[in-house]
Order: sequence, then structure tokens, then C-alpha cells
Amino acid sequence: MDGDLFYKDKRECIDMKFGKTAFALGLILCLAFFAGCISSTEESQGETIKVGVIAPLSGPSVTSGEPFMRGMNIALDEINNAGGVNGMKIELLVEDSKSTPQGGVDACNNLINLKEPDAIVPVLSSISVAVAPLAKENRIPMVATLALSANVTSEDNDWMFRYFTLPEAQTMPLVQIAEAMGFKKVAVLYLTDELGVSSYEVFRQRFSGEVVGESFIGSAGDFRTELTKLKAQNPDALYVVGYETHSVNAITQAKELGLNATIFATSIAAVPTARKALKDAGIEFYTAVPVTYNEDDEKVKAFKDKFLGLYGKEADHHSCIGYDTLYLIAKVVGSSGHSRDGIREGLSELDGFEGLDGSTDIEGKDFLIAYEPALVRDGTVYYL
Amino acid sequence: MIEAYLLHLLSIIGLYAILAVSLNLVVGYGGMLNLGHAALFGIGAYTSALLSIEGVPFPLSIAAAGVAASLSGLLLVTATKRLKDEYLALTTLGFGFVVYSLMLNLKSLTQGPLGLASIPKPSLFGLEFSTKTQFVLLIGVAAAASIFVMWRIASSPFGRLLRAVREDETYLKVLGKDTFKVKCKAMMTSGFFAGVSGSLYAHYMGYIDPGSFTLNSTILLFMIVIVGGLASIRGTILSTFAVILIPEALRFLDLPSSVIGPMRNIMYACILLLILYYRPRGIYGDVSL
Repeated sequence: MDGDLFYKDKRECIDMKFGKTAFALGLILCLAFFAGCISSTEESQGETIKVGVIAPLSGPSVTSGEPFMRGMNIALDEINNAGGVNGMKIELLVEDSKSTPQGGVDACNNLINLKEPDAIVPVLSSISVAVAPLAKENRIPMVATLALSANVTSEDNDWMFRYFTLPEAQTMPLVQIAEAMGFKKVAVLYLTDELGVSSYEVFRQRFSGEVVGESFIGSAGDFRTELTKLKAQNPDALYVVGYETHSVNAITQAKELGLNATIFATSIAAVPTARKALKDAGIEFYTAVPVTYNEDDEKVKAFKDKFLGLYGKEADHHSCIGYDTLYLIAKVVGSSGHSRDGIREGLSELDGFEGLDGSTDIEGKDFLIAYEPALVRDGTVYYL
Repeated sequence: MIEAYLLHLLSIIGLYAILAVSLNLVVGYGGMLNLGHAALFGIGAYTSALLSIEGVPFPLSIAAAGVAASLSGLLLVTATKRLKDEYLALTTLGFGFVVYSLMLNLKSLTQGPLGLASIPKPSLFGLEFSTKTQFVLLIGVAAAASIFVMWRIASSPFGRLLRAVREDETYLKVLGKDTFKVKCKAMMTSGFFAGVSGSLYAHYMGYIDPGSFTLNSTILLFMIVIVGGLASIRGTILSTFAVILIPEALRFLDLPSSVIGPMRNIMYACILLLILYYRPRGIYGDVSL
């Protein structure tokens, strides 16, 4: 009994001591947090054009976010080294969305309320859709990119724009190839995400022949079960829709299983690392990509050389989109000023933009990059 | 403008506090290793969002969200009646995957991976909650009420019975107690509050997709509960503040964009590991996992 009392007293004593320590630590955390908030607001007083970026720098979509940011940083250096826009330098305020909508909303609130950017670039569909109401609520122009969803832009939100493409534009060139080759049946192996589901639906609705589909989840690496089922259908072509590792694994496994169909893949299979892996496996495939793999274009070549020199890696189309997005904003600021209203009006009135991704089609608030049909053979992209 | 940012963070803390305390009720007090809690959160979010989009008033939507998640909790505990420890953990994990798959594949209902956008702002007695201040008040009141109710349950004779189930279920059975009934009640209560939190989350964010209710969310919730301490409501509340605010505080570190993501994650993990190194049972925990 005495022992219990002693133990209880001792525990209470430890708890009191810990309570004080926890209180002190909590206080330090709060002070550090508020100091961060205040210093961040103070830093925002200056004559620069502030562009916030909400990019997936951690989480599953980091493979798109990293090359995107590298491309954007090259554009930033070029613009600032050339004297900036209207004599003002551009400052990038980069926040990590952690590849989740809530992470994107947290980052967006941080940017809008503490760093006060002139415009924001949200990257990826789910993040762009989640932050779109904040654009309207805070009257801040946003240019979403790498965002396919139809919900990104809407008629009742004048502050949200998009620089990318739509699922139909990515898939239609492949539908046309299938029609031209006289295929009767196409098998679609697709990831159950926005790109995968949309691409499958476009193929199903627009292809005149038969379409059979099998889906897989993001963590999948072995596609032999789905491929065996699709092989039993004896398709003329296999269209693989997924991220880089999905595309490479599924296509090589299809060949291993003896699925002798023409291979179709999304633009992601055309990134340099995927192209090399498929080249090593002796596989050629059809895809639809922006014109950024055109080696004859001097501007593209100069960008890619610079990218290779800086990062030791070959640039992909995500890098080019990052580069172009900043130039698009710079162009608008150059003509309409860097106030939020000015940027919004500039984007609304923009009649054309030409970047590494070629010229864009403007449909309302969407600046759409053209995706051209191409054949990837021996690791080289040949536009058709 | 700092206020708006802080109000946003307070709203997120409120939502996660309800969710984490409701998880602690079954994991900490009841000793049931439920790895499907994010699924109950998701069921609440989708139920409320779908009903609101169809024009159902917010009070009914949030009540329906709570009931739907509560009934799902009952289903889960009934299906796992004979299981405990790691077997229970694996089955509840499977439940989470099943719910995630349903959210992803019932496209006509949930829009699949596209998610549900334009979820209406809640309105109560003619007052629309659209600003951050209004939302923080709504979530604050909901969090205070929910946590108070769960605290009362945990301190009641039922709460003591629940703790006894955690300590020695067989002994209780020998005494003639219906432990399954106790577990059902605990899981239904936990599910109800997870559903309420899900409803508030959906209306606050205005957009939900299946990716928001995966194993990653469950891991975050377990982190809050473990850092705060099992069977400790005050610890869970304190831990919610820490787990939500630490990554936000790390946003102020001036790092190049190439290392922002990984560096912040490493530092975040190190801080949490340090807390657990000095407090292996969590900040105010009484029991081991």
C-alpha cells in the first residue's frame, strides 16, 4: 500500500515536471511559429513579382514535381538575368503540397496569407481543384498546370486558369492511329486515377471498334494477371495508362507474356528514363506528346542543353511545362502589370502564347498544349 | 492576414482532434487496433458531401454522416468479432482498402478518382458558414462538444469497462460481462465522431477525393494518438497541435526547392522520434501499445 502511494506520488511528481517541460516546449514551438509568421510577412515587403508555386515535392507525384520545378528555375534565372519583367525581378515562393489536396490547401493558405504572392501556380489536378475556391475567395490569379480535371476551371471562377491539356487531347491522337491502322479491338490497361479513368473513357467512347479494359491501383508493379486476361481477348493494340514505372513494367511484362499487340502509351512513357528502359527491352510504341521532343527546334535544344548542364539529366516535357508556365506569367505581367487584377485581366485577354511546348489553343480559361502523335523507336521520338 | 492562416490551422487542428480522440477511444481505451479509421472518416465525408450536393440541409447531412460511419463501425466490429491483436489490425486494414476501392470505383456515385468538387458551404439556422472565422467557430464548437462527450464516456463506468476489456477480456467474460456489446458501443461511438469530423472536413475543404482517406491518413492519426499517449484525451489534443503545427513551422525554413520536401519530412520525423524517445508511452500515455 505504502509502495503504491510512493509510486503514485513519484508519478505525479514526474507528470508535474513533464507538464512544465511540455508547456515550455509548447511555448517555444508557438513562439518559433509566430516568429516565422511575422518574419515571413516582413520579408514580403519588396519590389519583386512574387509567384507562388504549390508543387508536389514529396509524396507519390514527386517524379513530376521535381523536373517541373527544375524547368521553372531555369526560366526564373533567364528572366531575372535578362533584367526581369518591367524592371522587376521575379521571386518564386515554393511550397510543398505533399501530393495531397489538404497539403495543397495548407500550402495555399500559407502563401496567400503570409507571403502575399501576385499569382499562384498549383500543380496537379486534385490540388488545383481543392485550391480553386481560394483563388476566387482571395481574388488571386492562379495558373494550374499538370492538371487534367475538367473541374479545375469553371465559368463562375474568374481567377483560375490552366496551362496544360485535357484527357481527350492526349488520347485522341492514339484513337486516330488505331482507326487508321484498321484495328478492331483495343485493350486498355489503366491506373485508377484521373488520367487513367479519363483516358479509358475517351477511348471507349470515341473508338469505333471494341475496347476492353482492366484497371490497376497506384502501388501495382506486377500486371501479369491483368495482361493475361487482356491477352485472352486477342486485342490488336494494348494501351497502357499509368505513371512511368507502371508503363515500363506493364509494357515489358506484356512482351514477356507474348502479347503481340501494337503498344500505345501515354506521354509519361516518353520521358527519357522510360524511353531508355523500353529501348533496352527492344520495344517500340506509339504515344502522344507535346513538341518538346523535337530535336530540330533550336529553342528546345538550348533549354535541354542547359538543363543537362545544370542537373546532369535529360529534360522531359514536365520540365518544359514548368519553364513555359513561368514565361506565360512573365508575358502577362509584362503586358498588364503585376497587380492581381492586372494578371487576371492579362490572362483573360491573352490571345496566344508560344513556348517550348509549341503554340497553345486558348479555350476560355484553358491554355491548351497540343499533343502530337509520335512513334518511339530505339529510344527516339519520331513525330508522325 | 496572419489571422486567416492561423484560423485555417485551428480549423484543421479541430477536425483532427475529433478524429484522433475518436480513434483513441477504441485503440487506447478499448485496446482494439483499428487500422480502418480513415475509412470511417471517408464514409462520413462522402455521405455528407453527396447529400449536401443533392440539396439536403447541413444538419441532416452531418447527422447522416455520423450515423453512416457509426453503422460502418458496427459492421466492422461484427465482422471481426472473433479476432484480436494483429489479426484484427490486418482485417481493419483490409476494410480500409475495401472502402477506398469503393470510393474509387463507384464512379456514378463518387466520381471515382476525379473526386467530388463544389461541396456547398454549411448553413445552420439561416447562417451560412463561409468565412474562415465562421468555420473555426463551427469546428471549434463541434470539436469541444465531441471531445467533451467522448471524455464523459471514457470517464464513465462504461469507460472503465472498456479499459477492462483492453486489459483482460477473458476475465470479464468469466464475470458474465458481454464484451462484444462493449466493443460494439465503443466502435459505433468512435465511428460516429469520425463521421462528424469527415462531414466537417468535406464542407470545409469543398473538395474530397479517395486519396484523402487512405492508409496514409490512418498513419497520421495513429501518430497523433501514439505521440499524445494511449488512453489520454489531453495528450491526444496536445499531440494534435504538435503534429499539425510542426510541419507548418518547418515551412518557414528557407530551403531550396530541390530539398524542401525530403528535408522537412526528415526533420518532422526526427522531432517526433525525439518526443517518443523521452516519452515512450507518449506525452501523457498510461499504457503501452
